[in-house]
Amino acid sequence: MIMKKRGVFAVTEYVKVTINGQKMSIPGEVSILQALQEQAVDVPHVCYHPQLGAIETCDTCLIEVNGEFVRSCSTHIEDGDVIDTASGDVKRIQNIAMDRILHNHDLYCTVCDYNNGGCEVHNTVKQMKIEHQSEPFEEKPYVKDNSNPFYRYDPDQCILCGRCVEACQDLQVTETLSIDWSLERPRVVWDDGRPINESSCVSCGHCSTVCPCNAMMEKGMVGEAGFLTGIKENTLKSMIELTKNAETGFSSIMPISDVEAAMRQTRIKKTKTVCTYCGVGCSFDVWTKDRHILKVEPQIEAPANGISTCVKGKFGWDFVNSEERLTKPLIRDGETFREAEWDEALSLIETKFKNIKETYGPESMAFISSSKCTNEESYLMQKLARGVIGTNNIDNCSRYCQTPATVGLFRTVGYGGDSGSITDIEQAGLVIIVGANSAESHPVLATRVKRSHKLFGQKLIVADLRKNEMADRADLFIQPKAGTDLVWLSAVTKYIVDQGWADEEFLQKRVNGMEEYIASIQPYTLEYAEQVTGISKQELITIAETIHNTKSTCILWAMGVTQHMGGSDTSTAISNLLLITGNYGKPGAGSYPLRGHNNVQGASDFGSMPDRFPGYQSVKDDAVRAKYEKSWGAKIPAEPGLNNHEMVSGIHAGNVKLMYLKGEDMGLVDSNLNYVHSAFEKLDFFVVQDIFLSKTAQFADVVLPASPSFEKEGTFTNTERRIQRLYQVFEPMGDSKPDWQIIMEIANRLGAGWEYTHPGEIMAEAASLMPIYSGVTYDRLEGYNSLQWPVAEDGTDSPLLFKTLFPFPDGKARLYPVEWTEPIQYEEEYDLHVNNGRLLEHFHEGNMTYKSAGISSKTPSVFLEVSPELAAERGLEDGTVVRLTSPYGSVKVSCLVTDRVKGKEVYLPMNSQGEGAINYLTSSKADKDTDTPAYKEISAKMEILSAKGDNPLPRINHRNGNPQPQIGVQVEKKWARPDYVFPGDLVTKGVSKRG
Amino acid sequence: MARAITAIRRLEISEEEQRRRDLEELGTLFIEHKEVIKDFLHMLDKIQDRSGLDVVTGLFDKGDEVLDVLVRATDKPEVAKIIKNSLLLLGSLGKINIEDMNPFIEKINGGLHHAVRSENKEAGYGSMLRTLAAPETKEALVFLLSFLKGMGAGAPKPQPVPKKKKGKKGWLLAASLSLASVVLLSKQSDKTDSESLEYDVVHHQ
Repeated sequence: MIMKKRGVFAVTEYVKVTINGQKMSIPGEVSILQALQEQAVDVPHVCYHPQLGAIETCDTCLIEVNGEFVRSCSTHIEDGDVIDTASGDVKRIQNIAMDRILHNHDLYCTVCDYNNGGCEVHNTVKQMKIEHQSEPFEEKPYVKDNSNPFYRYDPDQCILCGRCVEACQDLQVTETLSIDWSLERPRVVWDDGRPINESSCVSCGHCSTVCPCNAMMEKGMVGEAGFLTGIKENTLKSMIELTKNAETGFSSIMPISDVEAAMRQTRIKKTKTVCTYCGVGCSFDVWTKDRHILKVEPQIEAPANGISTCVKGKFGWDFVNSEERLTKPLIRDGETFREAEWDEALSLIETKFKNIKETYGPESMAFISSSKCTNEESYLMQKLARGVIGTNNIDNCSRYCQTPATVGLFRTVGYGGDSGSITDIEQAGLVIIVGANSAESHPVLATRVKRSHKLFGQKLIVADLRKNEMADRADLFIQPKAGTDLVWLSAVTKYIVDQGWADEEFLQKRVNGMEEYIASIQPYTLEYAEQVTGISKQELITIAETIHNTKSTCILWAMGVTQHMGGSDTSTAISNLLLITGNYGKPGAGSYPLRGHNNVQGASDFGSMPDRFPGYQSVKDDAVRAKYEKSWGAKIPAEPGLNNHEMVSGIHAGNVKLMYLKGEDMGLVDSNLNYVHSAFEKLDFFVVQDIFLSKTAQFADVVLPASPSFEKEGTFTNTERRIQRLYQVFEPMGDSKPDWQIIMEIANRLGAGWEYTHPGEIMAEAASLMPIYSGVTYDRLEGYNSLQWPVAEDGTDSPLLFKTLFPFPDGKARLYPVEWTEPIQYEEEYDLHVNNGRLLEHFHEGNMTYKSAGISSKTPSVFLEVSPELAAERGLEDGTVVRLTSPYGSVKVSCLVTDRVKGKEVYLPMNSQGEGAINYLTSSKADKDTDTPAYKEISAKMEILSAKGDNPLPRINHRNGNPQPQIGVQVEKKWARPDYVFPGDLVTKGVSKRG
Repeated sequence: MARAITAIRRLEISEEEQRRRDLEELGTLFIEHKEVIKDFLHMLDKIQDRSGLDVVTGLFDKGDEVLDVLVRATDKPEVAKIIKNSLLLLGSLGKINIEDMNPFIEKINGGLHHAVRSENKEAGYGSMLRTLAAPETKEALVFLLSFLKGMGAGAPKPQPVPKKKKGKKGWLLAASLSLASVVLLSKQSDKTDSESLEYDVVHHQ
């Protein structure tokens, strides 16, 4: 079964077979169906899906192999096989199988929203030249389930192929869907048989994506996709009946639906884009009709995600058409903003920029780029700062999240990015997740771990304060005290060295600094680690043994590591551990700092940081600077500029007078908000560029209306260093403009003379200056093509880094000694530790995702997770309203009692723009090496404001569901039904042994 | 001191200014599409001459109701049978070889002509025998016997492929045209893309 579950087969050997009387030699190690498809031999199939593999429910791919009828999807091709796909008996059993499908599916294609050329049922009926069904369609005794806001299930159209179940159970691994084969008329069920909206369904959309017909369909499509599908229900029913009664055979009626399907192509636009909701870099087609989004349709060839999506990527795009979008520039006028034309806004910006530069100098001006915008926009923003204004005061929000990880990797292995690809994580023998809630923050990447762990024996260790979904699934879950990860990581490393388990050969050939490093970890004994972290010695030994006994280890980490006083050092310790155990430069291994936003990687790659030009080239390097000065015709300062945090301090100190910020809600996501807000108030001139009037924009003097990803072209670089193109889905709304155009207009007002007409020209210029991007061109990124940097000039890219060399002068990595930094200590009265992070269904503070009525209905507000112990001690219950107060501010929020947290640990997700915004509690203290705020080091005291209140988590939230884990669709239960007869048995008594 | 504010004063465009902008936009469109607009207006004239616009307006105005009435009127066993028979008949027509039928039809015509003329004559055994012995009657009997033999032998070989294809194309065209007319009824034409497509189809009709 393993063979089929992976769905992908390695082609290594050739086998000699006879296909329909013709002898041939073809690649082996694949299923017969795949082999036949390769040879263009026509075999019908309905339930088989290339990414899901064989499901074996539909029986339409039955063929004769060596005298037996077998399912070609699940039968391995072997040397000497004699295959018959064309005999009368084969056709007969395939027809029996298809008849059974049509017994479950009403063919009313012309008035079906799924009639878009891709319906497997329609196409297979045509392919098999079926004229009539001998088993007539029969309604099932169930009603449509329309309860979920995003998709609906129509049991009458469901052919019970099980693709949705396979996807839910074994690809997405939410384990909500199953088929109840015990029912007289089987159907898909959610959890224990409850309505979709009350189940554990996370609305990831896998089921509707893989459904071969119209049974599981995105609601955006319903009544919208076809020319005839918006007809009133009763008229539609009459039309269906008429069509069926008048039908003389499928072949005479199908051309009509084919004509209608072809006509749809003229008004349904399908555009490839890249998701902006996290760093995984999912890409997919967006189907639109004018500005109406019909659906998001992931494609198998999408390099990072294939057919996978999460709820935000699949259904969270309502914000693009929100009426709250800014459509004209705004200019502060007393106590209100007034809408203005572009010319007036740009003239004001020109005057202010020139005045302030002249009066206070370029260093008084600060620029903040965005990790949500494109690479090209990031490049132009830093070019504006450096090349037009003449300052290195440029940064982006990766300062708030992943800069420490980048530093840790620069110190040890030389490149600040994931050392392999998502496929390496998938293949790893062991995955260790440290301080990352990947099932919610990087949902599609997490599915790869969940799948490998569930089906292929991958080991999983999770270190986190909170029992998140991955912790629930882990083989070993440890809960170290907050901010102590470096200690247990170093202790495990020391234990491995002490046991003689270090990879001596790797260390000797490829790594420097061994002696000094070994000396530095001597204090990290198991006893010391147990005392500091609270993790038992035995658990630490188990971790060390598991790494030692596994062929390859990947370590994934995120904000739980980086947002601490010692975030860079802990990231370094992770990389040290991987070096000691030789887990670099080989498949299935390496370091994976999971990038939080869609272009955290790209924003830094393209120089939106104060000390480095695009391509991580130091501004202090005279040769590099000379290269950029020559290209841009400008004089650039040699000293690094201010980072985000220093800019805020600089405003308070009176040194920074002007800020131009795009695509960041710094007024909500920076730490110590009260301090940040008072800084904004002190600016002489503040320009904010956004799609909404964000909290930050409310402080601006001029707000410029930008266009989101759907309204522009460009590229993003995902967490695995993968560069992907996005194409324009819609025209910019109102007078909004893509950021690159706005930056260019401002630059040109200041005399830059830029003449870019397309982002591809910006990429061409940037690539010519960045060695790691030198082979990147828009042509090479056409469609779903992608490249992972470094990309050589000839276009050769690097899915796996460090295979032979590390990018240091001698090609060797460096073990880098680090010491533990004790987390911030609070007064005794601040007795609760406040952990914080994302939720699956909202992107950060939610200014985009709250625009989705569906998401808001399921998760309408923020909540504070409190442990059952704390609830008992303080008299808290679901809905109790409390105030948390830290030395820096306070929040007001409703409680949710859950065992995801324990003791005096509380968890406050960041999806609030109001009184519950986490950063009213956080301090300005930061990672000592990068100034990344220590968001995770907060303590607070709690007071009860109202003992009773509404539960902040609605009943229809997926967290209240009851998943039913199983492997796949359990087709054996179908086969065991008394009414099931293997179609082959109806033709011959020779029962398949291979089926 | 720039405190956070949220109030937005919308840019008010005077009615006159809005009208000026709209006219300017329309003017540009007219110039860009001069030829097609001229043709289109010409076509509208012709339709208006026959009161066609009133009919179309009525249909679109009550599109949902009209469609519902049409579908309900059509959704009856006898109508379904008409459609079914028509489809079957269309299929049968496609199989008849008209070239072969020509001599057959001429002979039937000749037979009919004689039959009509003979109506006024008195029948007698002698005249009947004479008629049987006539070379024309013998020729007709041979022809009919060959026909009966052919019927017994079953269907001739299928038609050559090109003819079949041609027939299918015609069928697809017919299907698409009928489909388009239903579409026109079923939808409120509110979107530019579909408008242009639908107009194209109407034009062809």
